[in-house]
Amino acid sequence: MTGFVLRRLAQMVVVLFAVSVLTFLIFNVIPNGDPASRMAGKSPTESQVEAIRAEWGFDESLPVQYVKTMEQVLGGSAISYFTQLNVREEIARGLPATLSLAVGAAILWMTMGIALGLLGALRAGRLSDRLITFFALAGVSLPVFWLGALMAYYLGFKAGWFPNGGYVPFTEDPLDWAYHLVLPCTALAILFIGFYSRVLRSSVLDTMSEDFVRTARAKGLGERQVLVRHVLRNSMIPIVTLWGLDFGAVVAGGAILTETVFDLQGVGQYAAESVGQLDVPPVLAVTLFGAFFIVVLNTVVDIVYAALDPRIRITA
Amino acid sequence: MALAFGVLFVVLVLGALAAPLWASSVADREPNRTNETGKIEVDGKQVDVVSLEGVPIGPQWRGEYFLGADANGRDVMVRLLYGARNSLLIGLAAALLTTILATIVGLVAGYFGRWVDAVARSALDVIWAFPVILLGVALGTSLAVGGLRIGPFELEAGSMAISVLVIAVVYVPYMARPIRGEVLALREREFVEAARAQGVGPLRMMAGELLPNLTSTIIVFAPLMVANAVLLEAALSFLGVGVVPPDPSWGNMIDAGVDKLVTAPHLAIAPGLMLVLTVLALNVFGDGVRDAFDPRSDSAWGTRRI
Amino acid sequence: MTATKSSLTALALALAATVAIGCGSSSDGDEASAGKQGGSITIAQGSQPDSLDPAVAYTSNSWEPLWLVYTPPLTYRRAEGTEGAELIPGAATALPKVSADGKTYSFKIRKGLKYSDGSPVEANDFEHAVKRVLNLESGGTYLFEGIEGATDYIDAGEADGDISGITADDKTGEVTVELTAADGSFSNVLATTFAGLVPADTPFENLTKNPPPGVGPYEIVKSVPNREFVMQKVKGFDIPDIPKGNIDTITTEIVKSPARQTQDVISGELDYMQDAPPTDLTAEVKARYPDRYKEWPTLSVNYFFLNQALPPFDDEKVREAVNVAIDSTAIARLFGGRLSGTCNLIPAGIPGHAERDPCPFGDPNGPGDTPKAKQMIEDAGATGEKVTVYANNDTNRPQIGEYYTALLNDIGLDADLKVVDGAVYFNTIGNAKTKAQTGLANWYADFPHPATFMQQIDGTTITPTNNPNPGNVDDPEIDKEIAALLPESDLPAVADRWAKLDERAVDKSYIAPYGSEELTTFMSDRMDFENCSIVHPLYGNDYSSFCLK
Repeated sequence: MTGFVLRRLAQMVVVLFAVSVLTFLIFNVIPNGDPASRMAGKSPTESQVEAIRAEWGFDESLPVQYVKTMEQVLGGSAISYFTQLNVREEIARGLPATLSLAVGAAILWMTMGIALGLLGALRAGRLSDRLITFFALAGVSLPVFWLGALMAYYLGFKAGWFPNGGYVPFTEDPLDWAYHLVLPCTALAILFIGFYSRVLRSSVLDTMSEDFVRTARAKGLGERQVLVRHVLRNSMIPIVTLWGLDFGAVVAGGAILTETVFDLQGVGQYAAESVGQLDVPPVLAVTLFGAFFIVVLNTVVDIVYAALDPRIRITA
Repeated sequence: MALAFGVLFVVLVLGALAAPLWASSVADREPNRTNETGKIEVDGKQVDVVSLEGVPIGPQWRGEYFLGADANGRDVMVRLLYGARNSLLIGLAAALLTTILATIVGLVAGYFGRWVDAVARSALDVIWAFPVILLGVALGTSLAVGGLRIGPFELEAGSMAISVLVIAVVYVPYMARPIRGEVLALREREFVEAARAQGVGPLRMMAGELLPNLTSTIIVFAPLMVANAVLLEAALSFLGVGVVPPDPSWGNMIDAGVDKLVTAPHLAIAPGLMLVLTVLALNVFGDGVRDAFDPRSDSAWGTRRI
Repeated sequence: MTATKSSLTALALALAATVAIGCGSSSDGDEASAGKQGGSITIAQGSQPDSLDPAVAYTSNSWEPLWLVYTPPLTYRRAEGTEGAELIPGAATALPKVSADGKTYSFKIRKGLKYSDGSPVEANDFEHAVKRVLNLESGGTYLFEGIEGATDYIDAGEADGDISGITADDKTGEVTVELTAADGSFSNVLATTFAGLVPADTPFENLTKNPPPGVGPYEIVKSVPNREFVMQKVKGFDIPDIPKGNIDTITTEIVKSPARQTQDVISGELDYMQDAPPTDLTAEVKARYPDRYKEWPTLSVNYFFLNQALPPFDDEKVREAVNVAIDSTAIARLFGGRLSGTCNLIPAGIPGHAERDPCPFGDPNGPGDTPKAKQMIEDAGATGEKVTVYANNDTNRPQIGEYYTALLNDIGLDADLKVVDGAVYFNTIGNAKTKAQTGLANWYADFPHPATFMQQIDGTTITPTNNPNPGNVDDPEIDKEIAALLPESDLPAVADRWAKLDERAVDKSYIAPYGSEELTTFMSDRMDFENCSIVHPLYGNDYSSFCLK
């Protein structure tokens, strides 16, 4: 088991390294103009451009530049080419909004997904089950940027029921914080509710046909007790696994569109803006940060699974 | 139900194919032809297509400007149909490419195992770890001006092939992983052992023995991959790195439309509905296909992470 | 200057006349405080200012607040219209004395002047401010390169080095600036926020997170990048002719979406927005809130550059066809009506502007003549030539690019469009390797002087990167005349010679100008819009004129 864990951890580092190299290359190999001249502004003198080049190390070879940039990114001293602001501080400033969005949406999609999945399983084959399936599919088919924009305008601005966007820190006003998160969290959660309810539904159906459930029933336990104590508990495993994977993905970047549409100024929006400006340090930092989340949660899920089921260790 | 939605998808494709027909004989407007200062007759009066303050005319529900105009005075219905061509073309091409790449990677990794498998899996892990949208936008932005040159191949900046490539690569791991798993299982089966004993080479083994057994998995995945690709294309175009204006795609039409929700909601709602219908049709159809071919497999429509 | 730099004019006298001038037009600083005193307001900008450090800041986002915080030796009268273009002494006691050869400027820093932190202002602080501009790779560097020893200072790369052309005496407050060549616009340079005084111990780094103390009616007391910054009234600030401000605390929030800004100003959550309401909301705002909304012209020109170094625009006939075809009434719709057509490079409000009447290409506020243009393209043998149009992705710019692309296709060229992020746009088109044939460009005045506009058609400014002259206009006659006019300090005397240059640029179709953008003031209901809203031609809405009802 220890060997397996170590192997997975080593893999994790290798993957993150590859992600960082790739991101760096995307912006440095493909010709898109010299960052030094971009930063120099209007009518710079040649010596001014040279000075910038030397100061930022653009005159070094690519590997050296990569190492330098990574040192800065990992050490927290990287600054944006354009705003000259510290990247780590900017990420830290955006993180509360991103996490609030991800956690809020997760709570919503988990509870709704479980409720609908359970309902679907209990009424398998009936009209309500089919309706749930259909709405689940519809939810997965909604583009969040479209849904979000319509929600922000119609429910936010036009009806005035919710704020039309923006983020209020929890520390400033908890109620307002929650109020501002209702629409973005809902928009993001709708994507996942459908999927989770489907996974739970099939998982519950599988579990119900297992022996121990029949035994429990035979022992004379009430239907509700059987459902909650035995069926649901066992059916939750795939859902929790998925949640581990999706949560990472949402924090890592799935929230970009939601944040942009609702102007939450989270990490994703920061990344999206930086990408447009070909601003390498922030993009590199956010990509790595996101990849880190995804990889860590993937690894944790793998390790937990391996602990539960020794066969996985062999095939993996 | 799956069948009905399958038919719906076919209708959408036919609509996209008929775009030039609608443009030339019904609306009499080209998709990229602007008309900011034009006038049309409404109830016997001459009305600005775009008002002096920049408000475009709403749906007319007749040949010309059936769904109204956009900020540049272009016919939204015509652009919607042409946009369908771009969106569907990119979606289908990307899904096809994903399927081919994923099948090859899955087969090779699963069949050879050992270091080949290790390398392939690491590569998939790397793509998997990339935040999807960020990867797409990063590639799209950096290729937007310079284009891409790899050996003899050259992708012109702004070419749709760039979107296809980006989208295809992003989704390879989602499909390659299950295929690899299946190949691993197949490898242990008797018929493979038997073929190997007869001295069948790796290439013939993969193409002749393993591939046919993967058909059901591939068929189950295909419609969902198209759905995902269409959605990702829309998202990229929405962020300004997919289909380059003035060419329409649903994503860039929504992008322009959300800035006009007050005065011209049709600009965002029409392409959004088309997008939802298309993806929904593919998802429902894909769900039906799964039930028919491989009812025990997990649904794959959770593969989108955008 | 980038597209976001929107300085302004209020030269439309009709407009200026209709707006009651509340405070700033009075010559006495004390008397200027006619509006209600005190209170706090929250206003919005669409993006984080490029910097809140006066040495680096170079957009309207930053200049609008910063000119109230960092007073340069000279400044402009706090008034609307032409009156606002008048130079007045700021931190200096009087306008500078210029030597006969036009190369030496001398002025005296006011006695007893204090920074917002209470420390005294010294004459040597001016040199420090200039050094910071040069050392921090500021976009304003080129403005100060004409100072004797400035390039040596940059090349030496030592922050503490000396600029030989600047001498100052802390005791008398005397400052002398030597230029390498006469420069008729240097007084204006001394009035940019780049020259805003900061203490001599201000470090050589971009202090946007922690702006240094300055001399002005307001100080920045808090700055959280990308979120907000707070300006507070400075007690005891007293320079004649510079109003002391009415509102105590002005919090600027960064609200990315202009639609949200507008909605929040309507609902009263915000008191003022710097951006213009999006065209989607213009009609509603105009109809429902005419008592707190106004539009005013800017000292700017929007045009399509036509790259003379590349076909097909190396052919004058082709360039002329573009000018003939342009329909500014179509583009005005994409501005929500906030565009007035033009046939000039030098906009109204800048000396040297002479309205072209008639315009050689037809009414600048009327439709274009596409058939004629198409014929011209055919005559020039350019039909079917491939053209790539460049546009940035700022508000409405992609739509203008789409209009222009369709227009070029209409007149027989084979055009497609490239949309580039606004942050890297001018760098992209200004790079010779991009080979940009044509695209969107605009220029907002740094100061009320025609030279700032002529840079774009001056052949001597052409550089392989960051080219301020993306059309590569290189006409020896124009170059010679610009060189002859630049040293002239008596601007009114040579205004018609500048106008002749403008005329030549347009006649030869070196550029294709289509209009000047109008900007807006939109305030919440609790603001005293009627009495307390001055729009300065260069710096936009003057926060020190704002007051609550």
